[in-house]
Amino acid sequence: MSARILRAEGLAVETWRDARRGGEPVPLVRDATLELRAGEVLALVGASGSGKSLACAALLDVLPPGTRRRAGRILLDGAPAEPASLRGRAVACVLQAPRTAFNPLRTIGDHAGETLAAAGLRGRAGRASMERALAAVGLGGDPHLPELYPFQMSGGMLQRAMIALALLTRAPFLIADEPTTDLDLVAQAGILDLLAGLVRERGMGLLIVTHDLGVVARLADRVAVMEEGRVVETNDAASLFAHPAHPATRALLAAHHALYEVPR
Amino acid sequence: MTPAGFSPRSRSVAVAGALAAGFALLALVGPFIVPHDPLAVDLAQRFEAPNLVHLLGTDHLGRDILSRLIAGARTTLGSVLVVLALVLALGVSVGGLAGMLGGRIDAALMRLCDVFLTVPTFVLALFMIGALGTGLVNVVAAIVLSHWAWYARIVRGLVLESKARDYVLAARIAGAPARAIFAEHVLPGIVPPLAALATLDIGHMALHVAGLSFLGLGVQPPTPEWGVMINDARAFFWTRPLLVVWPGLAIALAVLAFNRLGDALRDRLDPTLVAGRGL
Repeated sequence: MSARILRAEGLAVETWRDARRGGEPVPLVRDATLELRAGEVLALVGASGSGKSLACAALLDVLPPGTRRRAGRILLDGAPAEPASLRGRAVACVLQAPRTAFNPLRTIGDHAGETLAAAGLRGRAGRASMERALAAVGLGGDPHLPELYPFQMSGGMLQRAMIALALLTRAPFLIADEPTTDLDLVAQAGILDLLAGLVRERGMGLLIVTHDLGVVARLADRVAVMEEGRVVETNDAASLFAHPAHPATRALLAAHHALYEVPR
Repeated sequence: MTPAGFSPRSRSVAVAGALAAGFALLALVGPFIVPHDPLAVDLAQRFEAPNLVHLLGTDHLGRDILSRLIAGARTTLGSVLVVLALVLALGVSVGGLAGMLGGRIDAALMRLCDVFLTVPTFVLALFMIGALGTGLVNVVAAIVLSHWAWYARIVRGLVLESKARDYVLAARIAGAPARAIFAEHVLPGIVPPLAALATLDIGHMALHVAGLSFLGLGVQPPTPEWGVMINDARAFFWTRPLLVVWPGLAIALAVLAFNRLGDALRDRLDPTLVAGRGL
């Protein structure tokens, strides 16, 4: 049943509060087309404010208040799909800040129960699949982990737990919006390895939003570059690093080299 | 941090808590522990000063004042409890719906609230009593109708605030239905501030019940109720001022106790303070 290709075509997002008061709506994402294939990592890169996160939010129809999707459609294996129907079924998400993405008043087990209920799985079968998911993200060692509250866990553990929740949905596609930005370097490496492993072993399609080209080089098969709400270049990772075509891509690469490369 | 019981602040909270608990207990078991029948008229013993048989004396019909005060706690605080339950039920459902659904439904519900917010409690009570007659039920209805909109607005605000949290977004993306998100992520966060607010309002609403009854609009004599008792004693104020003092003291103490308790709860549970602690 697993879908193989998730395609967002011509996504456009704009502000709309101002429009109602007579102002011009400001386009935030213009005509973004992304194609995510199972078993493949697509990196979405671009400067801050280039519309990466909004494009992902539009994909699932979870845009923040004051913005709306103006155009675009979602295709799942070529068939049009409602964005809201993808949530928890075809697409799962890993958010940037693990600390705030968990309800402080509820345990990890409670969160898992909620995800499982949305997926229609309860009772012993749910418990078993939660244990499998936690083991898959490297949290299988502690049998009491589901009873922990978010404040009792480190950021890296929480991010692993969030990936475990994403696995519970059995969604074939995973969107990770800057999943390592809030973590220290060791935890970052661990999370990236984990994500790469999931793609390899389970054949998931991973859309990773990042502005870290180091992450891209390590993980991505293909790269889409966004600038001012447009996808300006899409290429496989090796070609993009070797022959950046668009000025925005070159600027990103230049900035990366300036920051991270030891001058010779 | 000062150990509990030593700072004047926490001592006043402890006293208020004890008083409030005492009043609640009286309301609960009052009818079973009254020393005399609060309705028993004995004209031979009218206007007795406080003595060992009638600890607080008797009123103009020879009824035991202490018994009437204890029985009145149930009438006054019991009706406040009913008012609060109805106000909270209405406020949480309307405010919750408005906050969760947003858009036109939100706008329509909030305009409905505005309509109710424009009508003062006493005016609405007078109208209802004029149309439906006097009685405790009408007083309760009037207080509920004039107060639920405040709660609806506050609940809506709290819902909007928690809806902006990342974990609500995460739950939405996980495919959780809005009902489950409200019950599991939004409601637990708004219960503490609502509890504080409701406690603060107990005194305020007790004043409404007693005040409307004092005016003869609510509870009718001879039912023991603090406002009714003050009204009964009004005629004898110059000769027997204690008759007014006892129920007045009961109202004042109850209002003070519940206000102090609500203040303390609010200080402890204010959502902004919780956020400030880095949750």
